This record gives sequence, structure tokens and C-alpha cells, in this order.
Amino acid sequence: MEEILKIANLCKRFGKLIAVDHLDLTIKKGQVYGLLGPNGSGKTTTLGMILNVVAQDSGSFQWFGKVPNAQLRTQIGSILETPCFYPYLSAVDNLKIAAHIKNVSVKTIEPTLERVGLLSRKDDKFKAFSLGMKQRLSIAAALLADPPVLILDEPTNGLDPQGIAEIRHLIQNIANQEKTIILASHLLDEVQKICTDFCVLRNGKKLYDGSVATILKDTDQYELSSSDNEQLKQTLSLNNEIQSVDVEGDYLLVTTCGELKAEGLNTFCHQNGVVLTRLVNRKNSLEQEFLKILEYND
Amino acid sequence: MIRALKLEWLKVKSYKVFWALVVMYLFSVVLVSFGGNFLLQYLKAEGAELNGIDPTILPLYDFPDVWQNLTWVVSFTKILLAYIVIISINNDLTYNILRQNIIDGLSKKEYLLSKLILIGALALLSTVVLFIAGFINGAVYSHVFETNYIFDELEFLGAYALDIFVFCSLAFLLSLLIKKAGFVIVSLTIYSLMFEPVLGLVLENAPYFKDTFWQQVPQFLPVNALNNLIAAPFPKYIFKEVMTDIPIKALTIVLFWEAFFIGSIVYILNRRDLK
Repeated sequence: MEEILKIANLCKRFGKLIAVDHLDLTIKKGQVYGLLGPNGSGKTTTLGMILNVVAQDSGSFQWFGKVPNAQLRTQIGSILETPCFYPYLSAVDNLKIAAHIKNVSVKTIEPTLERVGLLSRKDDKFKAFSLGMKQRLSIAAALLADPPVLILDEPTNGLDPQGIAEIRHLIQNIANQEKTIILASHLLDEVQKICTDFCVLRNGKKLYDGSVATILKDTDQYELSSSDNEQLKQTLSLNNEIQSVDVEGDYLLVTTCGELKAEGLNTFCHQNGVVLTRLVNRKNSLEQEFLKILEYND
Repeated sequence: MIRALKLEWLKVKSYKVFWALVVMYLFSVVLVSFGGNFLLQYLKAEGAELNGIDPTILPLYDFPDVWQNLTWVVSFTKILLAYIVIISINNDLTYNILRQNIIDGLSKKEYLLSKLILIGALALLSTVVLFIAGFINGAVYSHVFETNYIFDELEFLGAYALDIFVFCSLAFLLSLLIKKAGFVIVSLTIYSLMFEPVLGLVLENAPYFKDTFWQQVPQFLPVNALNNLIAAPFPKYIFKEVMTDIPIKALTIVLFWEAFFIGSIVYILNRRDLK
């Protein structure tokens, strides 16, 4: 797959603080890449460096296999933290500036505003916008040139639940158009829902990188219940492919070994005269795995 | 060049504060330009006498003297243009526009160019308005109206434009260094209108510094060097000799300062992290 971004040995210090510490990262075309880490782990600094607004102390990076320059940045739609616009200019006037810098026609402005649901407010001044609208306007600015790469730094920061859902929906739409997205966030369920790949940063160091699907694979744990959990427990103890049965609230947590899966469990219970009212295969959550990664590296 | 010009145009086009300040500035230029004879009449009414001469017969608007007279007087209003530049730069910093522009694909060189174009446009606008004001006043009051007199000494208009350009470059640099617009405005005003001129007067005229190294210092300071570009024209009306050329020494010092200002701006733009 084509490499979109390659970061090699990137370092940045702010006085005594090492913000980014020998970071290597490769992002390929079509990936929705989650940049995870606690607050202050170097996510925004890294994005600042690859967008040339923060100077790196050492190391290098390449966009589209080329040495970065201003022209290449017009191919990247970016939001870094807070929306940045002139408060005294209207939405359209602000986007005209972005369109001019990105060398795209002003004709793209209205369709883009429509896409983020701001067309009816296009002549209102930026300062009159709510936080959610401001955030949507910065997404509009990032989408203006229909760029192959999007960088989103905490895009749902400060939004209400409805706003978060809207932005997430928008990002998923964009991801479906084969675009590459780099998403920095500390909201793990956000990354779990949107991203294909992720890495974990802490104190500027990369602790882990891999695909979301691999880490969220199925486990050998099942949640089971029936109208009589006591009877269910006795029945399950007859199966030697079941390692353990624990009572957790109103269901039993069953750990299997060998080839026994959900289908086998269901058949086994049915054959022994027990009707299941619940059968759930537990999955890892990104949150658990994230905490494990941080703990493991302590 | 065109790209940078258009960028700056998009930024100021719908910015009402900018246009209000420009209009107020131009109004002050016109007011000062047209005020000469009214001032003389006021002096006469108050009974002032200049070496026994009736003040109102002073030919302030005679070609070509009008150019030196007007540029010298009106150049004191350049501080108002510096305020516009300070506000423009400060907006780009406080609203994080500079960072967003770079992220969107602007190079720092283009940003610098766009702001120098803004400064150049302000200097040009001011010079054109001053030329028109001087021409109208000359047409009305001048005792001579021959082309060779009218267009003689136009180099004062060039010096006037350079004066504004360099002074606004200083304002640009200060706005990058100090991110608080109000603070830059107050400190630039105090420094350029009080601190440096007073220091200059003290060092050049106090007997204590006579014939010392310190007496030579003021002419090398930026605001004094800018003020030296156009010599004060009025002593000639009390029959003192007045320099009617742009002094090469002051011009050299001014160009050195301009190079220093631009160099510092480039250094800051390249080195500073935009967070």
C-alpha cells in the first residue's frame, strides 16, 4: 500500500520537557489512524511538526514520499484543536481565505457548508456561532479542497452528545470515500468506533502500534443466563471444555477452552434441556487494551 | 505576489475596524495638509510676529517647498498607520490565523510578503493622498505654477513613503515580539514620540555630551534616523539655512534598520513554534 506519511526519529523538546521522543510512524493510504495517549502525551506536538507549525529538533518526515513543503500541505485538510477563524468575518469570508490558500475555487464553499450543515448560517459572523458550529466550520475548511488526507485533532472536543454523533457520522462518511484520516483523541470509544489502526503515545514515546481489529479480537469468555441460573451452572459443569463458571450479577461468565464456541454452548445447553435467555461473546474493548498497554510499559 | 496581495485583501475586505481606521487616518492627513493657512491666520490673530513679519505671508504652499513642508509635518501621523499594522498582525496571532494559514498551505515567506504588501499599500495610499492634497493646496496658494517647480523635490514624497514603510516594519516586528496589541501600541507611541526624540535632544545638545561619542549616537537610532530623512523646513522662514535634499547618511541608516527589521521578522517567523 502507498505510504501517505512516514515519520522517522522525530524529536521535540520544550525546555526540559521531552514532548516527542524519537517517534517513528508510517501511515498508509486508506487507513483511519488513531493517535492515542493521555493528555500531554505529545499528540498535538507531533501533528504540529508534521504540519510545519512546530519546528522539530531532529528527525524527519515525508508526505506522499516527498520532502514536505507548503504546496503539499494544501493536499492535507487539518484541524488542530480549536477552530481558528477571524471572529469578525462571516463563515463564507473565512472560508474564502482558506480556499484562496488551498488554490480551490470559491464555488466549492457552498457545497462544503451544506455538507456540514451550515449553509443557512453562511453569512453569520464566526463569533455568533456555537462551539459545535465553530467545530463544524473548521471541518468544512479542512474538507474544502477535497483533500486525500485529513488530520483531526480532538474533533469532538467540547461538543454535546448530538454534536459528537454528527461529527462521528461525518468522519465515517469521509472514511468510506477511501480517504486517509489521522485522528488524535483521548476518547477511546471514539477511536474504537472509527479507526482501522492506532498507536499509543505516552510522554512522547510510542508504546504500541497495530490494527484495531487485531486487538479487538473475540475472547474465550461468554455471558450466559437462563430462567434458572443455578440449574444452568450445574448443566455447564458437565462439559469438560468449560474451564470456569463465575456468577456475575444476573448472568454467568463462562470461560471455555478448546473448540467450544457460542454455537457449541447453545447446542450443549439445548441438548441438556436448558433454554438460554442470553448468550454473548465478550470482546476486548480498546479501553481495556489501552490501559493494559500503559500498565505493561510502567 | 498577486496571491499574497489577494490573501491580504480577503482578510481586510470585510473588516470594518480596518476601514474605519484607514478613513480616520486619511482624514487626519487631509486635515493637517489643509490646515497650514488656518494656523497662520490663527497666529496672526493671536498677535504673533516672526522677526517682524506678518505670518500669513509665509509661502507654505509654494511649489516646490510644499513637498518638504507637508511631508515633514504629516509624517508625524504615521503612528496611526502603525496602529493599523499592529492590529492586523495581532489579529493573526491572537486568533491563531497565522498558524491556520500555514497549516492550510501558506508558506511563511508568502505570509511575510502579504504583510509587507499591506504596509506598502498603506504607505502608497498615504503618499498619493498627500500628493493630491499638496497639489490642490499648491494650485490654490502657490505663487509659481510652472511644471518644473511643481515636480521639483518630489523625492520628499519618496522619503515620506519610505519613512512610513520602515516605521510600520518596526511595528510589525514589535507585534510579533509582544503579543499584546495594547501594550505594543502604548510602547511604540511612547518610544517614538517621546523617548527617542527626547533622548536625541539631550545627547545632541546637552553641554555634558558636547564633542563626546554620545553626541553621535542619536542619528543612528531608528526613529531619529527616520526623522532625519526629511529635514525640518520651517527655519528657512526665519532666514536660516535648511537642507533641501534627502541626506544620504540618514537614508543609509534607515535602510540598515529596515534590513534589520525584516531580518528579525524572518528569523522569528522561521524559529517560533506556533502553538
